[in-house]
Amino acid sequence: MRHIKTAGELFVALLKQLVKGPPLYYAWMAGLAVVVAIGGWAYSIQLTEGFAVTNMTDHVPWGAYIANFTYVVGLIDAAVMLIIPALLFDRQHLTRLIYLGMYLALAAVVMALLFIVVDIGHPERAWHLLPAFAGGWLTIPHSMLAWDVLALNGWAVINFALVAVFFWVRFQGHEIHIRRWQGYLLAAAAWAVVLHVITSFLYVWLSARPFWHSAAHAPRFLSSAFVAGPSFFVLSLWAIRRYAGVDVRFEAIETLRKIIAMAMTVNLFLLLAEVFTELFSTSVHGESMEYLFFGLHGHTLLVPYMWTALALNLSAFVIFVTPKFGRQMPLLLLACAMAVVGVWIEKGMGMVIPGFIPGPLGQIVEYEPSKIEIAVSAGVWAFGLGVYTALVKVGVPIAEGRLVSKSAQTAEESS
Amino acid sequence: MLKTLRRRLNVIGEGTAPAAPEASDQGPETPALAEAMGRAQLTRRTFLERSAVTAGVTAAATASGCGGPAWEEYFQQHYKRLSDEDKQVIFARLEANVKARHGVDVTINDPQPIEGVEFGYALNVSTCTGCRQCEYACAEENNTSRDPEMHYIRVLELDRTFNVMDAVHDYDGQVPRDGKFYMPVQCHHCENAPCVTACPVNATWREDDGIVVVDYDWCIGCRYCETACPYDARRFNFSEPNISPADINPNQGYLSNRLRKAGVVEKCHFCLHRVREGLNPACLEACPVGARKFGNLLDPDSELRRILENGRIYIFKEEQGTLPRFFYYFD
Repeated sequence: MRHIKTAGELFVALLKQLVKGPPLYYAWMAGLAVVVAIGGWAYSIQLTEGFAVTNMTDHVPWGAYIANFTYVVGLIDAAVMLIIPALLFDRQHLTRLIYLGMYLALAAVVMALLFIVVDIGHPERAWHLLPAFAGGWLTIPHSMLAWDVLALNGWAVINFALVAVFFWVRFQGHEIHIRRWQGYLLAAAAWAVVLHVITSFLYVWLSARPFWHSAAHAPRFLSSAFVAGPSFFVLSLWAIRRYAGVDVRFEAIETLRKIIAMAMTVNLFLLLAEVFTELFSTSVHGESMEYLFFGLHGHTLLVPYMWTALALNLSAFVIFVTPKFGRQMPLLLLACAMAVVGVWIEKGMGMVIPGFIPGPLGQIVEYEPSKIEIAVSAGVWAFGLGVYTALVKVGVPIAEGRLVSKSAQTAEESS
Repeated sequence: MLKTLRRRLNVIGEGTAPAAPEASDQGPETPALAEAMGRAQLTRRTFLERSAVTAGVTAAATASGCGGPAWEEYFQQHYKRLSDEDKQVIFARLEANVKARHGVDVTINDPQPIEGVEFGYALNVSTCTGCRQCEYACAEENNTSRDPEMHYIRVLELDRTFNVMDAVHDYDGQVPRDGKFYMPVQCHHCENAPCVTACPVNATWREDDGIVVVDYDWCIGCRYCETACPYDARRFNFSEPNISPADINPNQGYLSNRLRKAGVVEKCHFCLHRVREGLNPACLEACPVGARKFGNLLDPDSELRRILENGRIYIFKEEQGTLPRFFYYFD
């Protein structure tokens, strides 16, 4: 009974914290709401008119939605890159930021699930994805997509549970003992890594698509996620420090910079290895890579994007690996922004689309997202950013002990 | 539809289009199939029983004044989990829906795989003229969308090096052209079908007679199968399929040519509703030069086996290890 009362109290406290804020907060959330509304309207058009309003075809059956999905799954790994150094390498200044990483991961998994929902032709049949005993027919073990559904939803549950328990414990005024939590957190980190590997295996096993059928694919997925996730996190930390008043130490940022620098080195090396393997030989297997970087038979739609991504990634790399540059906050933020965008192009459209070009029967049909797809994708992103903002808005005071139950307050006052 | 067909015929020219093949009257090709015809008759009986149910459902739909019981549609189970009674109700509902929507009386059939039969297909690349009559006959038989136009068969024009990556897909004008080969590509009904492996909900599977089928009411439309197929055999309904009532083929199979919806995947099913009744696929019937041979892979006396055992066989993308049931051969 006491727990139900406290839960009610927590719920009310969260709502109150969510609705009050400075004008900038309202403006930001209202702006996101507008983008979400436009995305929802675009999605309603897609629902009624069918996928003909997208630019996907039988030749390129996956487009912007799956590209974004792949990218946002990588953002979950921002949490991994806090948990592992903090707990295994005892970086205590990062330990204090793990909860923020978990908020970002929760927002990312919400986006990932939404990108899947908007991509399927019959979302109302999603219950077919339940396990067989529950009336659906999830095809574990043979379908990689079924494994991904399991891994993704599993992560959503784990992530939500950890955040909920964190809220619950802190709201009652109890301390977080990291020794008690570290087992769960490390298990969660392992789950997130496996989730990302399974997401890459979605593509890798498809021998019909030589561009994806490469063992370097999975490590590239992880290394690019370890670039994009922490970069996105550092960018958001800047805003969190400024607007939510969280004390972020220089050492924390510096550790993240080193992590990103290492991950980026590996990522660029793997990219180089793949480009070399595909392009130095004259085999037709290299045609997709040729299409991506140089164009194929006069089809060059992706070429400017890919070179832009490469330029952004290389510039960011120089800043990350050079301490003199990387320790200047404005330059570091610029590098993070470049890495976020660079990886988004490289790992999103730059990874998904060339898999379909040329097609299995030699056709070259290019793809760029339609206005509807752009609007829906922007809507999902805005929703995810809204979730992240909301979690930070309520979750920072909770973490810092400023938002506690009445009994905890009186206990503290009396002591 | 007739107009497009006539246009195609004009393209081919009178000289190159021989008279309609006699195959259509031939009936079952192999003894095993002939024997199986007896079994096929069984499905006709269930028809008659069902017509009573149909009447009931139609009346109910009219009485309630709505398109049909959406609730039951929503919770409809996977094909393999349906009892015979479930099927009767569902088929009757589907028939009533078509009647209500298009004003056409159709019958939905569910012929079962025949024991001792595994279907195979062989196509003579040396004689194929690239006329695309198979492609259009397929569309007519299988109620594929006319607007946007969907085809299960793609005919490739290849030069003598036979490099598929250089194939011409949109060739036009008089065929066959000198020095060119024509290679129709459709679902290969692979033993190790990557599309079946890919599907997260088992909406597509290989039947006992080797035909890879789709349950259109179970497919969630994720298009992973399309991504997995090395033969580009699968099609997604990007919008609501359009077909005029006059063009609807009323003889329909639940797992084959019944009318589909937007947002689901479909593909060639070897004309399942025909071949399990002892007929040949529509694409074979349409071929003016007899380049297509269909039959039972398990029957040692079939023409198909003779070709596969003695002919010069080309297995398309053999290195993929998919073990197709569709073969190309040369004279």
